[in-house]
Amino acid sequence: MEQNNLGRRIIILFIIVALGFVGSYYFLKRKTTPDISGDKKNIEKNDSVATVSLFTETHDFENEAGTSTDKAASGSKSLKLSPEVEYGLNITKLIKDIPNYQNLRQINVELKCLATKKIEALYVLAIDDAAGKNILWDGKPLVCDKNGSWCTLDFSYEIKPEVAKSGSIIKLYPWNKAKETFYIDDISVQYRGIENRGETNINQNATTNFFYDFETPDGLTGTELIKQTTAHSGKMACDLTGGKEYGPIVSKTVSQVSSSVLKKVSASVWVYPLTDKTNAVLTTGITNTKGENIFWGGKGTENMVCPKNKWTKINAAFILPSDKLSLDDKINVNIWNKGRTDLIIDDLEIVYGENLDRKGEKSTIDGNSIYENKFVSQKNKPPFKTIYFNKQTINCSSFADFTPNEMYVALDFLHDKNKLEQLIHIKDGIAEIYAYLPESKEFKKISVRPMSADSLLKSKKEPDNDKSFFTPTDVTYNGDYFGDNNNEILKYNSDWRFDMKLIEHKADGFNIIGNVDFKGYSNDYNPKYYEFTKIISGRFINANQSSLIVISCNCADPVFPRTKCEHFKNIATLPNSVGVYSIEKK
Amino acid sequence: MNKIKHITVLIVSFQIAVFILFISSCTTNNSKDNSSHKCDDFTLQNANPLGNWQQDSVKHKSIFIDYDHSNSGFTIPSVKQLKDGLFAFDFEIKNTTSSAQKFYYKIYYQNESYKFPEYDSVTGKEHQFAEENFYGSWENTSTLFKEIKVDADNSFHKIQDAIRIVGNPRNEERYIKDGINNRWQRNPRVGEYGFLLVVVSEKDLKSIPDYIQNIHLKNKEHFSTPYYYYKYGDGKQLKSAVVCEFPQLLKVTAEPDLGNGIYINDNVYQGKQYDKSFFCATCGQDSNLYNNAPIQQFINYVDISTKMDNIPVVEDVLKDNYSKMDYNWNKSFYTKDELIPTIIQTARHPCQTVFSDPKEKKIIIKNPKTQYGEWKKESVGIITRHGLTYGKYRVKLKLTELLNKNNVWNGLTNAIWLITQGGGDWNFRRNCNKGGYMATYWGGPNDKRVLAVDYTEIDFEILKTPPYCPDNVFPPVYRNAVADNKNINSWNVKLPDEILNTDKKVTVACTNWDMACSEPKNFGIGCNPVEHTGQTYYAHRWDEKYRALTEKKEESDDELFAGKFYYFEIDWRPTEIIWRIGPSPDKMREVGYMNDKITSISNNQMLLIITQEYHNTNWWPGTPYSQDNIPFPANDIPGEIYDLTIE
Repeated sequence: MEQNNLGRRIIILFIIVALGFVGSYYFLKRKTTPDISGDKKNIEKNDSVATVSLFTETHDFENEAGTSTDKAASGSKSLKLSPEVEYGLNITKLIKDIPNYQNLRQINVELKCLATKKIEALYVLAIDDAAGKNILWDGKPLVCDKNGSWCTLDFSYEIKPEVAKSGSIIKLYPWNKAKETFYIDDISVQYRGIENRGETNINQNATTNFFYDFETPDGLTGTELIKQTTAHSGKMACDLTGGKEYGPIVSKTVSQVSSSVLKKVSASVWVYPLTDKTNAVLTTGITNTKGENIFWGGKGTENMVCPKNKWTKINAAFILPSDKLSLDDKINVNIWNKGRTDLIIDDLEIVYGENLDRKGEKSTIDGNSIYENKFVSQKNKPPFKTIYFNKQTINCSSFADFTPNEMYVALDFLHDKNKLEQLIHIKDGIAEIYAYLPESKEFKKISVRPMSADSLLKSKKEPDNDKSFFTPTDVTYNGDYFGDNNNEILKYNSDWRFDMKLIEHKADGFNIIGNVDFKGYSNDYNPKYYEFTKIISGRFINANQSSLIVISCNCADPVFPRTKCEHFKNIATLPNSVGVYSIEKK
Repeated sequence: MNKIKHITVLIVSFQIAVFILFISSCTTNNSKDNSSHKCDDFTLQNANPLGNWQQDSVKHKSIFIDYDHSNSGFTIPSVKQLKDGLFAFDFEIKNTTSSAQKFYYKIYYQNESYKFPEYDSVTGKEHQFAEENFYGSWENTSTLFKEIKVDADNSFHKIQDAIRIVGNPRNEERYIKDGINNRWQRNPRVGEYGFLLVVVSEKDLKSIPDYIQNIHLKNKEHFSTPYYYYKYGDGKQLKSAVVCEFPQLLKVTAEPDLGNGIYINDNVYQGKQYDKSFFCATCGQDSNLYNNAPIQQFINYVDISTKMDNIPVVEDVLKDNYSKMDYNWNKSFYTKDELIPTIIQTARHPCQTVFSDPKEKKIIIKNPKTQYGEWKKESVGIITRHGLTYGKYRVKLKLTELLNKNNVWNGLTNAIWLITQGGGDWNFRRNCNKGGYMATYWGGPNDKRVLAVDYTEIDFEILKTPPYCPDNVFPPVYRNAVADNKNINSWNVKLPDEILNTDKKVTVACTNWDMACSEPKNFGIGCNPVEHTGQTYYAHRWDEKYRALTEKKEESDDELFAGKFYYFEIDWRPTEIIWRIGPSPDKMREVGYMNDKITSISNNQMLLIITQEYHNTNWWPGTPYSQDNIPFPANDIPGEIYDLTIE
């Protein structure tokens, strides 16, 4: 028996080390070194056109008509194609429903396919314009070489800018050309688009927020008056002296800056008069494709206190005739030296439109039920209670180099009297074990000496989750988070936001107990605010209660998948960190 | 030659008149006039209008309004303050003719602190608004001059009488309904009162118009004040009269005892059943509270525009280290179906959130905490029960801090404000003769215009919002946030510098609701400077139909609300309003000033309200934190009111 245990331990250790080597190979092949030094030189998300996810959606076909219960990759239903079914269920989407749809450049599809033999079928993207005329058609072969078992396929469709018009409709569907039998399930669609970060050094949402410090002429026209002179920031500013009337112009079409109805343009500029009685006007004008003026608005300094030889900021907001605007109309923002006095201008900021509407459907809660104190929550429907995981006062300095890129496992490796699990960190082919020392309240690296195989095997057991309840991008963790001898499930999804739910599994199915949030962290260092987070669940500090080790980092890559970041960055206000969090026992 | 004669006669007559006036009128700041005053027929001495009321430690005669049993109106003095509830007055008179004579006397009083001057130097006539001044005489206005018969015995005879100050002293029909004189509808004003003793011969009495002898009567369509008549008008010409004025004799102050309980008025629940389980000895509806409590719980008017979809977060913004990043994340990363549709709420359980402490003589208010499933933002406040016109309202209080240590706003507006006592016709403000007033408080820009309304409001509202003026940095340019969790900067958007530069400050907004009456000479829209005591204020009105004029000043939240207490003062005068704040009554500083050249100043009766209220931030354009993105309160948010003085 003892020998058996030893054998198991060696095998498991071997597996872990092997996993480490795989990870190491992966890193070496990419010739990159994860950087958590905080040196962000050359890797800022500036001065580049980045591709970002505009919108993601998943379809598991559990609640859609026309699906089959014969097979399922998750849940109990899938899409069945058969000799009688040539075209599978359409996934349709109005392009205008995608945030910043004008920037749509790519649609990525990931799906699961099951066929018993090689099939002749396509997965089709078709886009029709507002009149119903097809303007894009692209079919990708459904090639699955795992006869009889589910395989994962992914496709990427390129979208030309001229196709991304508000009235267009996107359709995605399988075409069963040879009328064979196969199944499709768990389709994930990601709509990706460009984000121009070149014109702003404040690195905000470049599609609607723009900042011009005049240090470069990027994004401006009529820049001949920009020169090295008295500047509000940097060295360059626009010199409107000697009767010069017009400063640089920022010109954009409505479609470049708005994904929905454009109602407003806000702008600010700094003015440095060299004389008294200045009259500089911050203007916004809109012309249509025929060159006709649709709108003009201006705010001048004529009646303002604008002392000479001093920088004064002018803010303006222009309410636009949104019902008269077309996507191709041109918005020109500029500064007009109406008084033709000598002045200098600098640091022009423009914000097009207002904050985007929140996503999702309107709440179905009856406000009166709250007012009457009769609110009854509906199973698994928001709003949920908030369950707080509190940061534990534990020295995690030995985790200082950890990043979410690496692999982590929680195991009771030592199998000692504490009955705690240890954290196995696998990096560059090397597995290291970190154990919690209750006396000193710290994690320490220990030598790799497997001591218990039973607990290791037990802890490696996958959560037995009902896949109809979980999406493909969900990560789940089983544990006794309340420390009450009952296990719960944590469901973590970061597709759109840090979204973690605590779930109980009862006879009537899964039941969301609440949204997980964190408390007890320093300053703003809430793990849910970080761009890239790794969570490891285990009984690290209490044998009777599961905790979370949360590794939180920010990523300097312009775009990165959920699993990997090439370059980390350390932001002063949100430094990369590792912490241990548990629910406070009542 | 005749012309020269006429001029000579005129000059001599004028000199005689001046001489007569000199000897027959008196003005004294002392409570007793020991000098003697002569006229053609008699000599008057030792006039003493408040003989039974003693001077205070600084040799002033002052009195506090007695709030007990005063629902039908204040009387000064009350029966608790003086036996019979009357000020005694006396004077001595000597008949200087050769035969016994009938003489006649009358005493008037007038509030001198809050009045229009009786004489208009521009027109040379009585000031058109002098009739609004608070003056009176014996409360039975049909008691005209009282007769005294004095023998020609070359000796002084002492005359004793009594008077008190009451509401509706002219017994105006406007305040009488169903035969009841609602003196409370025109309560005595606070401030200093002067007295005017007039003694005349029988001959001169006949020269005094009826409407001066009987102040209930009007001169044509208007009241004419006896003060104008005797001091500037025809009364100056009386040859056998002594007019003895005591201009600032009595200081009247209101200092309601905040420990005397809080009354709950059924009317605010509009006949609906409500929970009375929180009623207690110091808050409720018993007869003691009905008769004596100076305060009642205030229920805000709930505007349907306060409907909002709030984030589903319950936090203590002040204590939980809530940060701008928290605000930004919550603003960006909740979906619509997670939001809580709600409106700002008001107390449904009276006495649950307001407390009167008889021991410390203070009032505590608190916005109640809430929890998951209840989700409420409930405004809380108190209101005085006795209306007044004009006065310097000073409150000592500690309302909630508005910003936390990260300078994030908790969504509350601390408000100290005056509001119309309502009532309709009897409480109408002065007619607006140019364009009229907007008819209602709540109506939009298409509201009809009317000659008079009863709606008035003068506010301190303190919240996190930027000033509108100077308008070069208004509105702030807020960058748009995008919910991209892979890019912190996309959602954690920095506020503009003009907001961050005053991050620790809140705005003290001083507002006068003039209901868009454009009669004032310098009525304006946009930002307009107003100079006062070396300061420039910018008064702002959105457009010509906007009902309120506002001035804003940014002040430290810590200074106003983090200390033990702070003072706020609204000095409401007939032609100007001054807003002051300060750490003590002797260190008040101006933060707002308006006058009747730029806004219509209300002249009706108002009540004082103190609230911690939730506003729809759409009412305050440019506000950096939106009410629907601010969490529901996880803990009670208390405020304490220590002292209210109206003087």
